[in-house]
Amino acid sequence: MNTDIDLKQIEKKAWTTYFQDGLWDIFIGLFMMGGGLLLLINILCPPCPPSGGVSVSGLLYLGSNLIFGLGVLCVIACKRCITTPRIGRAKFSSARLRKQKFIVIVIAVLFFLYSPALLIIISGFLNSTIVFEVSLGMYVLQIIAIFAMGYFLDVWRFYLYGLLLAIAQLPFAVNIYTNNFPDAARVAHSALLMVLGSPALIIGLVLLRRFIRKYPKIIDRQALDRGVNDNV
Amino acid sequence: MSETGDGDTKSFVNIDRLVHEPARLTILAHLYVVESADFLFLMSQTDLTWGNLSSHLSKLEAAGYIEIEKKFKGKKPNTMLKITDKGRSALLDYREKMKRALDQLPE
Repeated sequence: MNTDIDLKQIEKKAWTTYFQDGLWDIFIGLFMMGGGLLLLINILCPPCPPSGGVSVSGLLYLGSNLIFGLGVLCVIACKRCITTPRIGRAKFSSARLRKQKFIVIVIAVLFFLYSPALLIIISGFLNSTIVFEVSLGMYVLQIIAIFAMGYFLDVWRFYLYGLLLAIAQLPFAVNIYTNNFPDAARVAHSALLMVLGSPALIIGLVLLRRFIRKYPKIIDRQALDRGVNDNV
Repeated sequence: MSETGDGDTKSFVNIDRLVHEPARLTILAHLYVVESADFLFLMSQTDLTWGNLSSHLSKLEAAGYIEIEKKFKGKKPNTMLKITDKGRSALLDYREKMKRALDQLPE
């Protein structure tokens, strides 16, 4: 018998169970792949056409912030519909909750920084170098956000996704410093985002399938509560 | 093992049998690391069945090691389980005694 009851390990396992549903993985995967697709649309149809105004891709660009916000809300809703009915609820220590709040702040900051950044990108008022530097700043923020999720939520997979996102953005950063933005490099950038986003999506789907099988939904939650009340 | 054993074996005799049972030990350990949890959370974490978990919880509650908070979220009952200070010290005491007793065994 192991006499050393590793309470820290038990707490970590209990906490990480909430992230074994793969929902955030699916979100990150779709986020990266969607970003790649958006870039591709952007190349095929510039956001600010020479004739003036905003094109469909420009509107898509602006809408991407809304899609990001809706995606986060969707993950939260899915957590309530899929995760909680299967593994129940627990209130963790205040240290854990503080870390969770920090992640909420990071995501909110990303959301609110995106809007002005997207407006700068599609407005066409600034020269292309500044536009690309703003884009790079946004990419760096995304990478930091994913690494922060890995660190503060104690889920190592997110480090991998942060690394994949950083690799996917590397050609873009190189292009900025060589001041050379050929279409081929931009297509490669979008393709890389879509390819490197797929592992997160696949891992997320596999985890979700495993989670649903491992923790079947208990239909009658009220009966569960009654069970506790009757037996105790 | 003798009930009146002395020396090292005394540590075993003084072990809290209520905590020593593996299922209850697991329940207490899980409640120790969270502020509170519901029945379903404990079921998923401990792999115990509904009936099994209920019976262990009643023993732990009777001993004053856990407390049950019955609340309502809207119209739905929401029962949360919490370890008491007595339960906390019982678990830590158990850990200490087991460590001490087994550390003294020869290789």
